[in-house]
Amino acid sequence: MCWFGEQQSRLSVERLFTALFLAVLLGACATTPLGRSDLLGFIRDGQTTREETYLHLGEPTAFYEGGRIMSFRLGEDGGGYFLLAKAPGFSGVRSSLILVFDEGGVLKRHALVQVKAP
Amino acid sequence: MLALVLSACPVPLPSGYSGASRENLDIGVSKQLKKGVTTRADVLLLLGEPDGIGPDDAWFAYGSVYGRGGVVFVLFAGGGAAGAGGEKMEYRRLVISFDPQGLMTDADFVDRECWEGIVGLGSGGGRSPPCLKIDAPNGTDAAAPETHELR
Repeated sequence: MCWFGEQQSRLSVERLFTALFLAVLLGACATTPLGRSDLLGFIRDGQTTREETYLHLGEPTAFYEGGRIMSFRLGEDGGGYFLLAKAPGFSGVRSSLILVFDEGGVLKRHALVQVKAP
Repeated sequence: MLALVLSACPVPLPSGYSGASRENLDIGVSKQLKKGVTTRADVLLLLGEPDGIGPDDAWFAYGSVYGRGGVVFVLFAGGGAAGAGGEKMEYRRLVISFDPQGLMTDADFVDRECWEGIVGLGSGGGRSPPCLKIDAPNGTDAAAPETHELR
């Protein structure tokens, strides 16, 4: 009886470790999305300033016309868009965000240009 | 040579864009551009970040590289492998020039197809050079878009 009890207890511990091992194994397969669905939510023509853009998105990938126009590279996953650093070519880049500011540093026009198909 | 080719395994190469290539350079895109009317901002809002830019944003170059399929013959021998073949490539390049006011002065679209040779031995290999430079007009060097501090 006592032996049976020990056997049961050992089996429970083994099951627990097996379950933990499987949970860790499956957890390793899961990936957390990098993207955020609200990443670009602050962008409003006629309202968003250059400073707000820096605060939300950081350093642009490129500047044009002395900084009046900025571009950012974006990737996309299940969670939404995420920022990408400048690199040769467009590997992993889904879209190019173009922001055109007026002389006062307020956003005049913008476009999210899809450079690669989904 | 013929015996060598016949004894090798043919591996078809699927068609598709090169991994680093943009995919939004359609043949009809230059029809949307008008000399003296289209601005630098219009071009960026239409096509996104360029592949190359000229000094003082004097021109933008957009390019794409599309593989139209091909075949590589792979020979396995002595624990190693070697291969040779060819792939038909399509290169597109659109170079848009601007005046100092930022208005478009010219748009030059080039679409070129060519076969490229591929050779491989062990873990090394290479392919023949592309038949069109996509990030700059002929005879110039491309510059990456500026990434320095605001001027």
